[in-house]
Amino acid sequence: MPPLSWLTWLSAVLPVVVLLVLMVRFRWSGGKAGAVAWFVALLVARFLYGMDWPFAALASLKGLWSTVFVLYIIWGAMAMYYLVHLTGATEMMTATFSRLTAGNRLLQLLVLGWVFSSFIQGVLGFGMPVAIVGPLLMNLGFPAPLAVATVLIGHSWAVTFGSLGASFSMLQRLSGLPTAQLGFYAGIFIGLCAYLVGFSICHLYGGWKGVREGLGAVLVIATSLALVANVMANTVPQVGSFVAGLVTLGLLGVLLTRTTWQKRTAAPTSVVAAEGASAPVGGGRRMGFHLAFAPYYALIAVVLGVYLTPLKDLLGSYTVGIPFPRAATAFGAVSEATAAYAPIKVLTAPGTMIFVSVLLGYLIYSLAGVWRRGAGRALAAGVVAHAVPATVTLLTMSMMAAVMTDSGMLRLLATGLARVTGRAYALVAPLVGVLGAFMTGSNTNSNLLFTGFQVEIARLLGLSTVIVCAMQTAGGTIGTMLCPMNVALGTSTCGIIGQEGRIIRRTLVYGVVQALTIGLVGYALIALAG
Amino acid sequence: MAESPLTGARENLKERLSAPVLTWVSFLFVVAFSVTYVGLARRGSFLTELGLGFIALLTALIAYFG
Repeated sequence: MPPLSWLTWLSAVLPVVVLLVLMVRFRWSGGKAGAVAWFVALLVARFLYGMDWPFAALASLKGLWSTVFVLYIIWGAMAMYYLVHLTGATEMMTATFSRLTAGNRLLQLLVLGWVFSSFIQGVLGFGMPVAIVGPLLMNLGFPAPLAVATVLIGHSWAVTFGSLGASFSMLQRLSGLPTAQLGFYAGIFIGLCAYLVGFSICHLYGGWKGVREGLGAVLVIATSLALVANVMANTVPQVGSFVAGLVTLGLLGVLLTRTTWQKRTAAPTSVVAAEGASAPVGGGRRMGFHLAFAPYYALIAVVLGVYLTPLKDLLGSYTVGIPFPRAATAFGAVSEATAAYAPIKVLTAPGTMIFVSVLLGYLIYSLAGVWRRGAGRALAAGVVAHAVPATVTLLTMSMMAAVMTDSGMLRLLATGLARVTGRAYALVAPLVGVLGAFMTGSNTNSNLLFTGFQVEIARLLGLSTVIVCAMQTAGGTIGTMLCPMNVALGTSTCGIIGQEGRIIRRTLVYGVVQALTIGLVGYALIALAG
Repeated sequence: MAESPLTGARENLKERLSAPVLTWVSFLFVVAFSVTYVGLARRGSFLTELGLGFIALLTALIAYFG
């Protein structure tokens, strides 16, 4: 890295500022803004960070390769969306969810956008909640921007202990800290995030009036999620979000079907027909809720069947990754040689699970006679039309992030932050996690980038390494609601491509409030720990 | 200020071309990736710079049509 100075620090932040200004202020699409930001990052890296052109090419290729995994999910999720949409199953689901929640719109947002998306995050992650639940909410009649923002916020708390613990495992492995201690503090921060997420969704839906209306529901749901996640964080952190989501869904199932709780939590404001246990579908046949939901049942079955059984290890041995040579900048920022960069476990990748579920869903719909002849062409056309803009967005943004990471810009940004704040660093430690997730689109990658750095800084400043690392992953989890890659995933699957800036404007406030709250609580815990 | 007919026609053309251009750009990234990767594998090859230039061209098209 070049020496830390105002010039180098401000130049490191420039690509991010350009990206945000173009998307938020000028309402450019993610692809267009990402393209310009990549050029800016390239020039800064070349002329101020000593990155030669071959290294810049290598970094950009690494960025491109890392999108393959996410694009696989996007194309699959879009196929799932069109499969369900074209049979008319969405109308059926809309009617059922509407009836179950007595038409209470806020409760629908909380149950689907928060609890259901947390459950999906628990087993799959990697943007799946956004890709699956966003369109589902939209089909329930919610405006697409609200649907996307809700799921982005709703699933975020579950990221650290989601994806079968990928982010937490990365944190633990790189910090070398005891799992029990790390799980304890991470559980506290993540539990706190669960409450904040619930209130954020209520506020997003109806301002402070929404918070008052949803208070009861949020307290019940968040307590269940946080409690179970904390118990699991101290025992089997890998399934923390999955078990928390499952238990809470079960609890809500009981509460919603056997009580009139939903009517008491808020005034019903139904805009969707609440009647009917069946609905007409494209093929002229009528289907029940379980048939309509079949592709999602298939997805849950496939995921559980693979991830929670020995099949995971058996199938997970087939990986595809590409080798990259070593490269270094003139200032010594090194990208080590790797035999298989960002390997993809082809048979257990979330994209594969979705495509298998789409196939199973298609077979079930066909056997039940609800799949129209010729609908396959409409499905393919819809998928291509929506996947291309999302693809170019991801390509440009991940190239920019990779150039920033490999040139040392990201590390210099964090170092500058630590230098300025001193012992008050604890207050901003989560922001480093947020930054990592914002740039890379993943809590796991944020932990990969910054865990070592956080440990280093904590030791240097005499702070608790365990608490600082727990704040790192909490920041990373919050950052997933803001990162352009997830936002682009949401806008593409909900058909509002080009509105990424609008979505980020909505989630940014809640993300910052959550990060600052975690910072304050962490600062207090460090002070108490002495 | 009112939009001139020429500007309007250009914007219309840009809008019409946007979807097919972006589709082609997406697929051409595979070619650009391959060329650059071969260049990196053969250290010092001109293909690295050529590939990076190709990526830059495709990215510029995204910036214009995106």
